Amino acid sequence: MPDPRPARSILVKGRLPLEGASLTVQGKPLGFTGLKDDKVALLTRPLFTSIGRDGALGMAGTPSTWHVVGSPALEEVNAWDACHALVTHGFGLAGTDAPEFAEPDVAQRWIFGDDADHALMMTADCQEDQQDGTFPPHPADDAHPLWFRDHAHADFPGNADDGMGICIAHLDTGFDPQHDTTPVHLRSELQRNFVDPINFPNDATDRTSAGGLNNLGHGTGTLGILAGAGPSGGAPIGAAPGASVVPVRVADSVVLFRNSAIAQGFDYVHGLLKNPATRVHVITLSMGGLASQAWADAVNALYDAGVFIVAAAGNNHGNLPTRNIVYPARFRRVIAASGVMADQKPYADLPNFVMAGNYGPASKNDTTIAGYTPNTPWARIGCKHIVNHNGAGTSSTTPQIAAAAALYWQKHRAELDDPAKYPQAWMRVEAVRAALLGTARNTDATHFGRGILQAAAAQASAPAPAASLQMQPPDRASFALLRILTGLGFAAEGQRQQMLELEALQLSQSSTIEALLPDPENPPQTMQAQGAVAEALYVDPRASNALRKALEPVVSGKIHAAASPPVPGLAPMDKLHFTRAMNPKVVAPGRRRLRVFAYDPGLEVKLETYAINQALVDVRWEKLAPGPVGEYVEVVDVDPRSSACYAPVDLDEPYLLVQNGRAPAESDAQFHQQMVYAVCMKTIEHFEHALGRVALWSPRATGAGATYRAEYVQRLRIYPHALREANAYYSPDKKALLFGYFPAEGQNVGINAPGTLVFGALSYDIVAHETTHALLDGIHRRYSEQTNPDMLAFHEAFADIVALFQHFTVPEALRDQIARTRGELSQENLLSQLAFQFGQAMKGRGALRDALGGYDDKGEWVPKKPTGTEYASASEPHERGSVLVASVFDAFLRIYKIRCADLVRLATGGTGVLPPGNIPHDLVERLAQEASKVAAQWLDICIRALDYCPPVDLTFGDYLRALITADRDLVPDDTRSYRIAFLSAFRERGIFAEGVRYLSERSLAWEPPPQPLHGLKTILDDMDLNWDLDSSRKNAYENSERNGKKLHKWLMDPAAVADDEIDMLGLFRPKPGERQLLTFEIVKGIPGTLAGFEVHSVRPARRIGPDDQTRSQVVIEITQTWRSPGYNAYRGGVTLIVDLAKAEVRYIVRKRVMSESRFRAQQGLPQADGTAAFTAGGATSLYENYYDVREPGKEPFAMLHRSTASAVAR
Amino acid sequence: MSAGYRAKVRMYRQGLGDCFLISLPRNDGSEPYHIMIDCGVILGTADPQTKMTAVVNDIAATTKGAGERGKIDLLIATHEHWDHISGFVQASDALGQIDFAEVWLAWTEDPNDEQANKLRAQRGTALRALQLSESRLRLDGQDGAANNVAGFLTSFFGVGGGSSTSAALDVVRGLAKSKPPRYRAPSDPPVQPPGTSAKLFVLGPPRDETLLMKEAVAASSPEVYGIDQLSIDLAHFEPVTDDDSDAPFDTMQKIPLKFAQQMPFFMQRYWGGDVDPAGDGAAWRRIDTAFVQPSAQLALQLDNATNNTSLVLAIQLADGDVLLFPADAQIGNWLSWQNVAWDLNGGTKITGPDLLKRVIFYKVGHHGSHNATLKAHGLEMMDALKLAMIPVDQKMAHQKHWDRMPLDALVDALRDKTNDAVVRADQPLPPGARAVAVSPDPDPMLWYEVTL
Repeated sequence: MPDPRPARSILVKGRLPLEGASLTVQGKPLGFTGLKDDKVALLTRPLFTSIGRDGALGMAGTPSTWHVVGSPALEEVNAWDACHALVTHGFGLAGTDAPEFAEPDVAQRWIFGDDADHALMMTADCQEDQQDGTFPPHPADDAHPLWFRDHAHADFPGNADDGMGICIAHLDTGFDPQHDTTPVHLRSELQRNFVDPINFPNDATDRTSAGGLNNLGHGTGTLGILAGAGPSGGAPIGAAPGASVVPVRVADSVVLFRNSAIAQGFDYVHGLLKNPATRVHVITLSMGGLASQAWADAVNALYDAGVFIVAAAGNNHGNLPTRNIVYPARFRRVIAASGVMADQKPYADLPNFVMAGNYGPASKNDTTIAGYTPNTPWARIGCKHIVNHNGAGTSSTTPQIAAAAALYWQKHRAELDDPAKYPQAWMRVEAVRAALLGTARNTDATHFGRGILQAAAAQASAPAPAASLQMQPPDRASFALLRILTGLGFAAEGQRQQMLELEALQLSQSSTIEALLPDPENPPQTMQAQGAVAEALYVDPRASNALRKALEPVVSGKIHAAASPPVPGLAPMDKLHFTRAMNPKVVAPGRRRLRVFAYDPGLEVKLETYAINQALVDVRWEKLAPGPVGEYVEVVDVDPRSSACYAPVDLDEPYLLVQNGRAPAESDAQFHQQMVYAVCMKTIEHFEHALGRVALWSPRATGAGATYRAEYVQRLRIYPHALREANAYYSPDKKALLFGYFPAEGQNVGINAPGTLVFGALSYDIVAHETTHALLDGIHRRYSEQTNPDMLAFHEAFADIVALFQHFTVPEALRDQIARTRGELSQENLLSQLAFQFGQAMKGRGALRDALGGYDDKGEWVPKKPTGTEYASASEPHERGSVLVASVFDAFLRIYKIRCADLVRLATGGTGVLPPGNIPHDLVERLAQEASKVAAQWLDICIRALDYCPPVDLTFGDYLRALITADRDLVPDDTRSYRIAFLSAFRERGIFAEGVRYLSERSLAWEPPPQPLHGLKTILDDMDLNWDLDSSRKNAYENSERNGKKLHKWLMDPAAVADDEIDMLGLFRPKPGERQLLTFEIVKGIPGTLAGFEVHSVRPARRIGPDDQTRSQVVIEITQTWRSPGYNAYRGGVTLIVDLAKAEVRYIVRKRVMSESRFRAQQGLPQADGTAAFTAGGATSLYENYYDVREPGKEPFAMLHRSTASAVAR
Repeated sequence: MSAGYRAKVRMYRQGLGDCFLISLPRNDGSEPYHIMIDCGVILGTADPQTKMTAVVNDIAATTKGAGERGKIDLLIATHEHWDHISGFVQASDALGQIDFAEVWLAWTEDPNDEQANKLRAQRGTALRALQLSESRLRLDGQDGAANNVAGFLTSFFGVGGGSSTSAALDVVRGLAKSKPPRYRAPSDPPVQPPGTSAKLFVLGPPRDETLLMKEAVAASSPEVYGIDQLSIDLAHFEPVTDDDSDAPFDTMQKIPLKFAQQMPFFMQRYWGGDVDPAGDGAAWRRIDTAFVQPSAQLALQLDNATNNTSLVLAIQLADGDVLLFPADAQIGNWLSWQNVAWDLNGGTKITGPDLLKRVIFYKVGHHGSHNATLKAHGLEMMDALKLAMIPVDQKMAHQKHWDRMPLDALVDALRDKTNDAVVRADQPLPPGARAVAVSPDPDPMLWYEVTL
């Protein structure tokens, strides 16, 4: 059963009105910002059922205690800000108090080794793992696995009944009931599970959710050290094998826990204390992390009730993320278990990222004790007879301390449990602590605190008299420095202040703040040192607004330190004058120039192209943060495969600004970041120029049905080194571009030296191609669905077209290629080729794709001649796409040729025949100008046509019609015969438009609707259509959403839009008030559900034609979806191009939802007339052996066959 | 014919998995020749030991004739998938009541066959890669994606669940105590079971590796296939070591992830925090496991490749009618039958298509899935088809979210072809099946049997 609890929750202390009930609160009572729905489902359940409930009842009859409050709304806000809002405003219900305290229910991962190693371990067979040789081994080595217990180490007696009668609660990931080492006195009737209380409330078995893997088995390992029996009936491996153990599962199999689970574990133990038969003496907890006030309350209650608690000090790698002892071990009422190695040296400060134990700060030394690690025994989950010898971390030392406490309690039980001797329960805890701490072998207070555990010596010491014991003051999660910083002094209390302190304390548990503030209990005295901490807290990206606000007075002085000198007090006009004179205005530059590879690094190694391998691109100026992170994109250079990140480049750094960025170099990660940024921005600019409005990324869709939500995504994320393979793709789910890199291997790697790394991020074409995928997805989000063979092919082809025509924007390379081909661009040349270096590395010759031709069997380049059947015979997406690319490029070449003919005639004295040899420099120059001009126009035309495409199920024929219509719309007279060029190039490759009888410009253009939409003007007047190149992108997005809602409402209203008008749009309207039609048969006998309208976009298009006429239009896309189990989702839709000035629909582009033939084609059904069906999805996949639906999490643009050349860079 | 029947085929109904018992009468009226094909049920079936033990007990009782012990003359384990061989581990005690005279496995399981060893090594590599990806996904908290991979790993290979398929196959190898197992290929001549008039033809798996790896039908021209070799770079899934020769940059530029997690830029932009899910470092944009994403595809390829190693048996009866047992053979295996031929004594030649044309009984491939019954070069050639049996449990398949098992369109086509004589293990007998002499196990409903 799935867990109904919301993914995120907060812990709240107070009197809650309805425990365990689900509250639906109107408005925004929690003060959450950014909520779109006005109802927020709120789930509350008690966190503590025992702690804090045994005292007097509060006034309202309910005690003030801790609760868990969960809400889906928490997914969208900073949890600390939500906590503050809750405490300030309460639940917004009359008659209920605001809670006293609130903190996020943080999900934390116990740091316990390296993921890659764990992954290996989880797949390992049941074979014994020996000691890890990187650490000092015990002299007897693996033959002596229980070395930690021997006399030279922790000195445990090693009897089978050690710990008898003492009860230890083991809070961990659970245990393996099948394992040989399961403790003899396991109290399985008391086990509990706070990780999956829905399915297994009373079962602490450490379960992996599914699958056949071993899991980390953390709890199985620690339980073995604590009280483990012997494997295969041998001697027990545990230090207290006679003790009773209550297993409590508080963390999942990979040691991920929520603070609430540990708190509940504590509370459960507290509840057990009420019955003498279930009384728990000791708690062992081999994990921890960020501080929690709920934990502090629980720890205090347990201490008061006489429970000895030991918790792990924490682990780190290279002292990251923190080397201070973590919580709850840091509380003084808890003993922290730090580590010492077999050779008696601290298990701390270890080099080279070897895992080590935490220690300190000094204020914690008094309540810290060290146990032995690593290479302790470690019972292996899932392998019943196996005990490994490589247990590690402070996870292993904690159960040693717990066991020693149990042994002590066992030996001195009569005295310790005597109320006459120890009238208060906490005294027993203190007596045990005194014995363990007092007998510890103290050699290194910094690392070991009070010293190394000596179990036998402790047992030998008599319990201290009650009078000598001192009660530890109650623990709290506080951060004294904040009181000093905010000027409130030590006296200031108040819950809000405490919450801020807890947040600051959590933030301080990082190496950054640790460096400034080694011990939060001892704040620095100098203002400067205090300020440094304040600043570090302030800039921490996780800090809440509330904390920043509290710190602002301290920090702001620094931030605004560089103010200008005061302006002399003169008359206002003079003042203005002087102000200006002193601070002359500097205008932001319009453009930023950046160095890139003109094509890719492959050109650098060829002598003839060496000179043109670098280029300068200029992109629009914007203020950039390191990354670069700008308005549209953010480059985040994380390389998970290499376990590495690369520092973000700061392009606004003055040195880089004056030299146009970093110099092109394959070996420089920061140059890679610069290049992907530059090419991506350049591509975005081309789109914005052609479309006349700002570009938006497709929104992020979450949920489905009633919970569906579309979120604005400001920036496209770019990962320059995401994959170690010959691949690059746009991920619509992550709104990210992922680029790969791979070594050119084997003999046939073309220009590359074998072993050279080839980077997708350094190929101008690949970056432009992937960016185009993202931009296209932002305009037509249904185009990634493969509803017909042209769909995926179009995405590919269009991305190639945009990449190709960008070649003509690099002047040096263009001139070079014109000179080389003597102006004949139909010969093999770089301009028509894509991803040269990739192609060389993978195929040995040629580029990855070539719009003009390819290599034959003899290795000769031959041009591709149109045959008229290319379109009909191509099925693979890239192959089919290449037909479209060839058509568009061919059309371009025709016009280029026509436009150059006069130049050539002039240069040849009228003959038009160029003499052999090089052509004159001036001619090269003029030809290049022509080529670049036509190419720019082509790019514009191709992009602009997107606005004239149907919202779903596009075919190449539709695109041809869109091209013709878009151009006709802007340039009514085709004096330069551009449209004829397109028409004939498409025709020669067999691309026709469906249902168009004559291949003429007039018949190809889309048509206006047969009758006008009569109420259109009213609704247009109601919309805000101010969206152009100057708009803020977020406003543009929100505007479009609002307009969409208005339009939707209008369409659904039969009084506003008549039924026959809806029919004219190719749609079908559910009854008023209904979301969908429950049964709807497009083809007789196949019932399905037809959803209501989806208004996909309402986008203004304001363009200036060559005649300087402005065209103000708005493009509206409406879609409708039919669903039925066992069938692919089937969509219809319509694009309306509306003339704003006349308030009428100029063109209508329909894909009727009721179209039976389209439905049959998409579902792979035979057509009514018996013609063959197309099976959706190209090749039917293996997935279809088992599943109906699209593969979950599959990236539509990541290639299916990753290692084949044809599929690279989709 | 003294027995009064030509053959009996019993399909056990243990769940999603295969187990068949075929009895061929001997000409002299003595005990029939018993062939047992596979014995397994998918992982996740409740109480599999009991179910498989019941099946094996029934086989023992049915085949013991006048004797004390059951007797199987020929045992065939078609391929290394849990749902075909789990019973050899789960019902090991019950198996002790049966004497096995001979065991056949496909040539792909032959430890002395170089090509087979290469294929099995590939399979092992792929399994390892999948396990590693699964564990990476799980450590990353992506249980959904991990389950997707694990579904195939455990369902078919029993990996991690204590005993694995390779252990089960080892049991099979040792079952015929007097005879080592025989590894069969289509190049072997047909075998006549002693005392019977039947002939056993091994149609697959093919030796041709391109066919072995063929996976899916291309849409534009059905039965033209894309070749996809199962080539996996294991290094992709292993942890990075210090001497990472494929690292993109020199170590001076490298910031180890654990350090980067403390850098404000990456903290803010990439890792974010649990406290601030609304920040820029939202978890949904991370790419930590992007490099193991292809593993679900890999799992499918591995599943398919293993299915294609199915030993395919055609039993030709005295009068030329054929019973076809293709196990889980996929496209490539099916296609290869078009080109197999045997020269019989007396100069007659029998080809794969000949046999297909004479199929009267068809054990439906791969529990009725999409890619395991070929159309033009399969079902449409079976002109004589009278009966089809589908060992499937749709409820179990749905539990695994395999909602195309069996494929409705295929079941419909079979019904058309056989005049409603399609027997599904998970459903009552349709009238059309009773008409061709299929009867159920009278009491515990453990099987359906056809008498031909």
